[in-house]
Amino acid sequence: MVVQTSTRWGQKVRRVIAGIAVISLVVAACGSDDDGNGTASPTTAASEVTTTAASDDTVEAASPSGTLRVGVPTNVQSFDPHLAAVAQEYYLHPLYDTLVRAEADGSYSGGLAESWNFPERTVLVLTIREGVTFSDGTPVDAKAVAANLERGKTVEASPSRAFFANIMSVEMEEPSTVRIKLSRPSTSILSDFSRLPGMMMSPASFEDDPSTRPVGAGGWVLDRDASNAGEVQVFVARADYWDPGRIGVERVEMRLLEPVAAVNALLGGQVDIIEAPLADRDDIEARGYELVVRANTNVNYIQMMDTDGSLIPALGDKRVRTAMNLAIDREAYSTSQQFGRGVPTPSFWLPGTPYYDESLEQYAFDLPRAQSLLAEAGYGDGFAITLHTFGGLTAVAESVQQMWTALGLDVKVELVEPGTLAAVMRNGTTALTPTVARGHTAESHYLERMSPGGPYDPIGTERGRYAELADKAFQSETLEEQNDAWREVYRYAIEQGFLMVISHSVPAVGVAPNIEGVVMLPSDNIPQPYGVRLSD
Amino acid sequence: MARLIVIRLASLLPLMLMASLVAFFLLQLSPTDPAVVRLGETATDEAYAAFRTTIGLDRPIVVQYLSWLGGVVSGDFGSSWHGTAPVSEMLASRLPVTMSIAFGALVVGIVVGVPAGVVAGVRAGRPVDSALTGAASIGQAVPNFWAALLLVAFVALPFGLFPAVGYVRFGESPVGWLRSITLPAIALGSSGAAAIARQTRVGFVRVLHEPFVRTAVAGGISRRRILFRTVFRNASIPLVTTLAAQASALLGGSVVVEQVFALPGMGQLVLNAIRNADLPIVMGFVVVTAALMAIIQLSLDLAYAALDPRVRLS
Repeated sequence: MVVQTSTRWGQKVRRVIAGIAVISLVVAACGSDDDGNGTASPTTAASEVTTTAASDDTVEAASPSGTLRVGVPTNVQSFDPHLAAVAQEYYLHPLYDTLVRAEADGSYSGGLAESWNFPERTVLVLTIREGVTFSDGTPVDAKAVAANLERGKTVEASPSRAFFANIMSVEMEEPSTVRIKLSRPSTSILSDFSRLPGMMMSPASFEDDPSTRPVGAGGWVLDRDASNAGEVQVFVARADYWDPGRIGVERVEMRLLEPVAAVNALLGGQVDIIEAPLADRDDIEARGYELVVRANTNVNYIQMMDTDGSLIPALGDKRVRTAMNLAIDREAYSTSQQFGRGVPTPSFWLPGTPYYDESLEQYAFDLPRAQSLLAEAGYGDGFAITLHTFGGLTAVAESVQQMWTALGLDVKVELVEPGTLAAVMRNGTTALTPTVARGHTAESHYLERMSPGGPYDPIGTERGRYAELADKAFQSETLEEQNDAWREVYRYAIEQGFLMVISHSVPAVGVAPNIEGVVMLPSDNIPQPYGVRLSD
Repeated sequence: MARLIVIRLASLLPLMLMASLVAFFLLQLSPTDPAVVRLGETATDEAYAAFRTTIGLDRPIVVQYLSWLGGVVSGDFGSSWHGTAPVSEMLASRLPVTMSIAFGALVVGIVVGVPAGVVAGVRAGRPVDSALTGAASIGQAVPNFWAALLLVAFVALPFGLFPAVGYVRFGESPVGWLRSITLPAIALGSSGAAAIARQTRVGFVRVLHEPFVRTAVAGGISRRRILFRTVFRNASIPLVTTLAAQASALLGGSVVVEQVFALPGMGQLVLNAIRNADLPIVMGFVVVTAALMAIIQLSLDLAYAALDPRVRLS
């Protein structure tokens, strides 16, 4: 889903939403199709998915040429997929193919696994594509895939530890078939396999520090001599890549740039692609650069840890939480903080997506109703709360502070050191915090952020039917049931005031005019180099 | 003099030890958890704990320090907690960048500041003095980062002669290197030039009123000879102090300028390291910076002795 340059952002947002609506229709249509092509039905029992063999065979692959220069916001920490942070996936994409490919429209297609099926809700069988090799010549086969998954289970200090912990066993049934048994059903395993956990390393590289000497089956290899830690990482195209049609550039450079420097570098012609800051998007477009947007948003929201008033008694009253939600003026936030480029809805999921519930629009800004509810709950004189925040979230916290002050609350904003917000949220003394969800699935967001007894429920508060509803989603037999169940989980969370959406922001990259084929996939902050070419 | 140099170089060791000790224990006060920085906000508590063990944070602080010190003594500054390269390698690749723009800034400061100060001092009280002194005041008031942003917006982007971001190594292209450091050096050196101009002016005004200058004039010595042999040499002593102070300030100022121009220097490295609680890099930076400061001070002492025969090194 690529939205081209246009003069009106509103049109773009509508296109994004329309695109997402198409995704939902595609997904829904394929959910009832037991042998549908190219999309996923993760928990549909006995479903099987067979996918295309490679990129468009009818188009003759041109030789890769030129250098794609990408400005990236963070330094690489590790090239090992089992150790790399999610926020830095883009450094690993050139090096590693994934078992499953995510598509821009929200569907999944074959990667290193050419097909898959779910004979049971907790069993996934992958058929590994034949004839593919890692860059060191080692074949990508069931044995290599099993070795990767087994290794992932043993890495303790892994950001993906929760994912691997759900894998009970990995069995190699045939040379090209892997059977994965899960502890509990997963509705996002295909998404996971399109990201870090699905990146396959050459087993021969396990003992040779993959953090600095990565060996994958991707389209490029790391040029260590040309790279310089903290400055630039350079990748060179593989001549023996199995899907040459996807390799359009000979060399990829990822250069570490602060946001201001990144914009200057793009406008000065020194890089070809950057993350486009909201404040600079008009300027980028006005100067003839293209904005390519992602079809799913980052969500700023208030996360409630104290869902039953254990820390602040007023928060134990649903009417109070509802009043706080109603007092959030999303239109004003979008206008003032997002330059009109936000999507102001109280729903965690955008209109047109499978989990969107229109009834949640009743929680749109309504200050009189909010004040009335607060008074009804006996808190007409307000109560005191503190919002911890840092960096880019500070503007979010300060906006909410103004809105809730207008409601009558005594809101204090407290800055914390960068890198400490998660610890603050998880220390058992923090009632609620503004935060952001990026590139999430319903399951990953629920498990990582919201689940009762999970990492962000440090004091074990009462959350009503929340876990029961989520379990229904995990146990769903069909995709339709699954969508209905997740929709209900998020409707419940918002009705109960466990999460209060402040804004949706649409990630976008600025692209130089001579670059073609840039696509933002659902988890991308920086687009992958596959399919990108330099025009003449 | 050789003995003094040896002694001063030897004194580097306790200086660096003290600096590292203070820096190490100050860093312990940082609330930033490197495990959260490294693994993200959604990792499990077990993963966080495992990472802390991996980098040795589960050991007593004193043991951590002694372990780091032991590594440094054997030439190993350790590895970045969040990176892919040894600290010594990272510092070695970034030091030339910072030194390039610091040296360039110093050149800008001297080339612009000294002549301006001489002219203002010689023409003290006249319109040209007022104009130059005013310009120096503005130069000192303009923050480095703002000067950098102005240069990018009004020089780099419209004309394309100098790059808006990035660094070219001297070995790759001497011309490219010069182009890549020109604007950062001007941004960093502008306030230094202003300070040098003011100090030069003050020195010239003071020395021009000394009796020995009047004597020289009365003796028929040429004006140029008096200015550049007698006055300049005497006015240079406080100027050297200013230059030394500028050299130290340039290392601090480079942090900001490197960010604006995306230069992969020491400043950018340490700023990111502090943000990420990357202790090995910060400690390596402290040691290297302490050594540089000590060398600058030693150079200052040697310059004093060369300029003023009354100063004896012992």
